[in-house]
Amino acid sequence: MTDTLQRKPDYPLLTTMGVLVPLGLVMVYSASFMSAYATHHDQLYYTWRQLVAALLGIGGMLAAQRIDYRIWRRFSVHLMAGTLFLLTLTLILPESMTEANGARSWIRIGSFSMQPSEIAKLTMVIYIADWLSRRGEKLTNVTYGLAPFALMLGVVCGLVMLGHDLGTTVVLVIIGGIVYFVAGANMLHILGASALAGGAFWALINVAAYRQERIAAWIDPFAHYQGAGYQPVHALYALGSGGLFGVGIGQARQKFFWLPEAHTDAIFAIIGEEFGLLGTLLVVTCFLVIAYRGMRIAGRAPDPFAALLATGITAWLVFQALINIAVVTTLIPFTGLTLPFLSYGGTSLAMSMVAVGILLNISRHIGGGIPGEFDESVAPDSRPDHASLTRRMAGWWRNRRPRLSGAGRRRSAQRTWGAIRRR
Amino acid sequence: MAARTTRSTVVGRVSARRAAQEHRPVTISRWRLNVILLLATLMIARVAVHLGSLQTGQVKVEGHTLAEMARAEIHQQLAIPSPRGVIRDSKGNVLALDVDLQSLYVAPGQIDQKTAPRLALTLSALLGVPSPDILAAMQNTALYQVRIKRWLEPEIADRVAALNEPGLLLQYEPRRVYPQGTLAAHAIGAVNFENVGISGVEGYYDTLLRGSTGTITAEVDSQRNPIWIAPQEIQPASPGVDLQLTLDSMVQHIIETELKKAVDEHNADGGTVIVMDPRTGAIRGMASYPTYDPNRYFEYPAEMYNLNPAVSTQYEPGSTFKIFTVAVGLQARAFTADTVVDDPGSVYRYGWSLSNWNGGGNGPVNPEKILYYSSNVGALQLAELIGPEKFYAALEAFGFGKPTGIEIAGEAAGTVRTPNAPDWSPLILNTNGYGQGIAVTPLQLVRMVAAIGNDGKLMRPYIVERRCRGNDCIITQPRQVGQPIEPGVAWTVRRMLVKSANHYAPVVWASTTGNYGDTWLVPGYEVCAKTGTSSIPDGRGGYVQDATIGSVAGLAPAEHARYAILVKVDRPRDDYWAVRTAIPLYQSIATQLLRYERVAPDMGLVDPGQTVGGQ
Repeated sequence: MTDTLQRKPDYPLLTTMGVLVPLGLVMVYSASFMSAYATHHDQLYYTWRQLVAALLGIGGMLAAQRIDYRIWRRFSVHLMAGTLFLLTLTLILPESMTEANGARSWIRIGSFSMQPSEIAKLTMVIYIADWLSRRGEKLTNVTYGLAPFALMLGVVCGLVMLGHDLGTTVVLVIIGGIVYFVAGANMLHILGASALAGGAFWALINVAAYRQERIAAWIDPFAHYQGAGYQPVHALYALGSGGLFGVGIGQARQKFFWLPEAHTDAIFAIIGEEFGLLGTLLVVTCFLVIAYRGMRIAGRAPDPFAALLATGITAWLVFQALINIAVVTTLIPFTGLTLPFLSYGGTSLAMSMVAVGILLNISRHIGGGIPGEFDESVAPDSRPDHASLTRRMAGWWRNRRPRLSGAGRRRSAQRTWGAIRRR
Repeated sequence: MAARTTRSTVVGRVSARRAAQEHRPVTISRWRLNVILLLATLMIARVAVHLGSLQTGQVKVEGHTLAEMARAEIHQQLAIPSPRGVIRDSKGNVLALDVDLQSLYVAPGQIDQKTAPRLALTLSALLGVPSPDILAAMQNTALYQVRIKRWLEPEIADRVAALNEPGLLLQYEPRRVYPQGTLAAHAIGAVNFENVGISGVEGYYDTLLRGSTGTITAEVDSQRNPIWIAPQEIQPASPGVDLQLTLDSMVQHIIETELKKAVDEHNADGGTVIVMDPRTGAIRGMASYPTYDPNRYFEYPAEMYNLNPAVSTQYEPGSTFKIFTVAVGLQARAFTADTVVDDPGSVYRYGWSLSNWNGGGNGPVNPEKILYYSSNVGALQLAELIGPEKFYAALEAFGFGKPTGIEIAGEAAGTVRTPNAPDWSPLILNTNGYGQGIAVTPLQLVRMVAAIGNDGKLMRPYIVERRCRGNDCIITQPRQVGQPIEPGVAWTVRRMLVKSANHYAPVVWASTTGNYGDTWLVPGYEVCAKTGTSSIPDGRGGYVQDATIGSVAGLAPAEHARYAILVKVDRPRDDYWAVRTAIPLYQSIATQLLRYERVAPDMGLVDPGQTVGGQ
C-alpha cells in the first residue's frame, strides 16, 4: 500500500500549500476573534478548531502523498457508497444536528462536526475518474457514457441540493463536467448537457425567492443594502478599504460584525482589507499555480485514472476558489462557498489537503509511465469484478464472448503488468 | 515520458487496438486539458483585473470610493445620553425619575415575510397594537428599523424576547415615570414623548433637567459599539440636574384630598388650593382639581396638562381683595382703623349702582367691620379715600399685574388696569376696591396674604428648594422683593382678619354647637381668613349670572404664621355664594396643617361644644 517510489513530489504545489494553509490559519484567527468571542466567549474558538483541522490535513496530505493513488481506485465504490450514506444522513437526521445557515449540510455529534458534502467532492472525483477511465470509446455513446454519468452526477447533486446547498451543487457539476470533458466526451454531448444544466440552474433560481433576490442584489448591491445586498456591499467595502497594501494584519474593520461570514465564505474580503491588492493577488496567484501545476500533473500522469483524478482535484480546488472570489468581488451572484485552504471549515480544509496529497502522489509517478499504460486492458485490475455494478453490467453486455476465454485474458493482462513492473 | 505519451495519443490508440481489439483505450487529449487550464487562467485574470479596479479606488458609487463609503459607515459620532434629573419633594421622596424600559423595534429586512402575518397577530395580542399596523411596519422593507411600541412592560418585553424572532429588536429607552401618580401633577408637570418638559417644573427647568448629551467619536461595529482597535474621542455627557422641591407630600396629600372632596360634594367645576410658607415664600402645597396623571398625560385634554391653574389662570379675586384695600389704606395713612364710612347697602357712582352682596346696608362701618361684613360699599369708599395714585402704586408694590417668577412653566401675569390704560375709568378704582375689575392669579393673591403674615415683607414665591448636579447643590435662598406695608399695619390687618374668620365659623360649627354667633373657626388657634365670592366675567363686559368662584384666603396661625392658604372653588352648583363650600374646605385644611405642624393649641381659644383638632 505504501508507495515506495523515491521520486520527488511537485514542489511548486507543495510550496503553494505552505503559503496558503498558514495564511488561512492567521486569517481565520484575525477574521473570527470578534464573532468567536461574541458567540462563544472565546476568541480562539474557531482558530483552535481550524488548527486541529489543519494538523489533520497536513497529516492527511503527507499520508496521501505516500499512498499509491491506485489504492483509491480500488475503494472508489466503497468511498462513494459511504459518501451517499453520509449525504442521506444529513437529510434524515434531526435538524438540530444538521442545519446551519439554512442549509442541511452538517452532521454534528457533540462537539464534533463534519460536512459530508466536502467529502463528497473528493470521493466523487475519485469515483468518476475511475468510472470514466474504464469507459474507453464508449464514453462518446449516450447510452453507455453520457446517460449513466449524468445519472450518477444527478444522484450526488440531488442529495446535496435537497440540503439546500446550491454552491456545492454547482461545484460538483463543474467538477463532473470538466472531468467528463477531459475524459474525451463528445462536444455535442457537452453542449447539450450544459444547456440542460443551465436550464436546471435557471429553474432552481426561480423556485426560491431568496435566490432571485440575490440576483437583483448582484446587479445593484447598493440598492439592496438592507437585504441581500448587505453582504456583497460590505465585502466590497472591505476590499476597497484595503487599497494597495492593506490596513495591516488584524486591523480590518469589517470583521466587527459588519461583514457577515467574515471568517468563512467572505474571508477573501478580510484578506483584501488587511493585505490590500498585494494580498489578494498573492492568493489569486497561488490558485493560478495550483491550476497550472495540477493540469501539468494531469497531462503527464502515468495513466488515465491518474490524469482524470488530477484534473478533477485541480478543477475542484481552482473553480471553487474562483467562484468564491467572484462572489466576494460581486462578479457573480451570491452563493455560499468556502475558499479552499483559507476559509474556516475543518472538513473543507482537511479534505482539500488530502486531495492535494493525492495530487502530489500522482506527481511522483510522472516520468514512470509508458505508452501502454494508457491502455485500459493493461491497467492493474486488482479490484473485485463486482465492485462496480454499472461496470459489471456494461462489461457483461459487451464482453459476452471474451468472458468465455476469460482466463486467458487475465493471464495476458498479468503478463503485461509484470512487464511494466520490470521496467 | 508521460508527456510524450499523451501527445502521441494516436500512437497509443493504434497500439492499443493492436493489443486488444475489443478494448478501446481511454485517451486523455492534451488540448482538452489545455482548454481547462486556459479557461481557469482567463477567469483568474478577470478576477485579478476586477480586484485591481476595486482596490485602487476606481470603483465609485455615487461619486464616492468604496473606502470612503466604508469609512462613512464605520466612523460615527455616538450620543451619550444624559439621564434627566430626578425631582423630589422636600422630604426626599421621588416625584419624577427616568426608568429604562425596553422598546420594540422591527427590522423589516430580517423578517421572514411569509410568516409575518402570523407574527403580527402574535405581537398584537401581546402589545395591544392593531395587527395591520404591525404588519405594515414589518413589510416596510425600505426602512432599516421601525418602532412598533415604546416602553413595554418588563413582563411583556420578556415574552416578546422569548419569541426569539431575529427581526424583532428590544432596545432600552428612558421613560419619565411619576411614582406618585397624580400627586402634585400640576406643579411637577409632564414630559412629552420627545423627552421635553411641557409644563410645570419639568417645563420651566427643562434645559437643566435634561443636561447635555455627550458624544463618542469612534469607529464602531454594526451594533454601534465602539471597536477597541481604534482610538476614540469621548466628550462626556453632563447629567441632568436633580431638583428638590419645597412641596411637602403630606401637605400636598391633605390639600388634594380635601379639595377633591369639596369639589365632588358641591359638584363644582374645579378648584385650587395653595399653601405657602409666609416667612420664605416657599410653596408647601399646590393643588388643582380636576387633575391628571403625568404618566399618561396624553390621555387627558391638552389644557389639563399644559396649564397649572394655580399660576396660569386669572380670576377676579372678589372680597378676599378687601384685605389689600384695608392694608394699603392703613399703610398710606388714607384712613385709620377707626375711620368710619357709611354703608347704606348700595351707592351710585358714575351712573352705576354698586351694592353689597345681599343689597343690605351695614350702617356706619370701620375697616374692621368692612372686612367682617364683607361690605362692598364700604370697601369702595376706602379705595376712594386712598385715591388712584396710591392704590395702583400699591398694586404694583404687591406684584399684581406681573408674574411672580415662580419656577413653573406658563405663569400668567394677571390683568391690572391702571389710570394710564386707555379703558380706565374712576369706576374701576371703586370696583377694584372690593376685588372686581381686576384679575389676579391664585399665587399672586396668596402671596399678598403671606406678606400680611410676614410683617409686610413680600417674598418671591419659589417651589424649587435645591438644584443638585451630583453632590454640587445650589440651595434657593428666600428673597424679599419688597415691603409694601409696615409690620404694625400688617398686625392690625391680621387682628381684623381673625375677627373675620370667627364670623364665618358658624358655617362649620353651628350644627355641632348650636351657636350661630361668632366662634373660633379652628378651635385652639387664632387664624386669619377672608372669604370671597367673585363674579366671573362673561367676556362681554358683564358677569356670568348664575355662577361664582368661592374662595378663602388666610393665615394659620394668625401670629408667627406657618402657612398662608388660599382655597378657591370654581362654580359650585349648590352654593351660589360659594362660602358654604370654601369655608369648610379652608377650615379642614387649616386644622389638619396645624396638627401636622404640631403647633400647640391654646385651650383658651375653644368655645363650648368645640373640639380641638376636629370638627
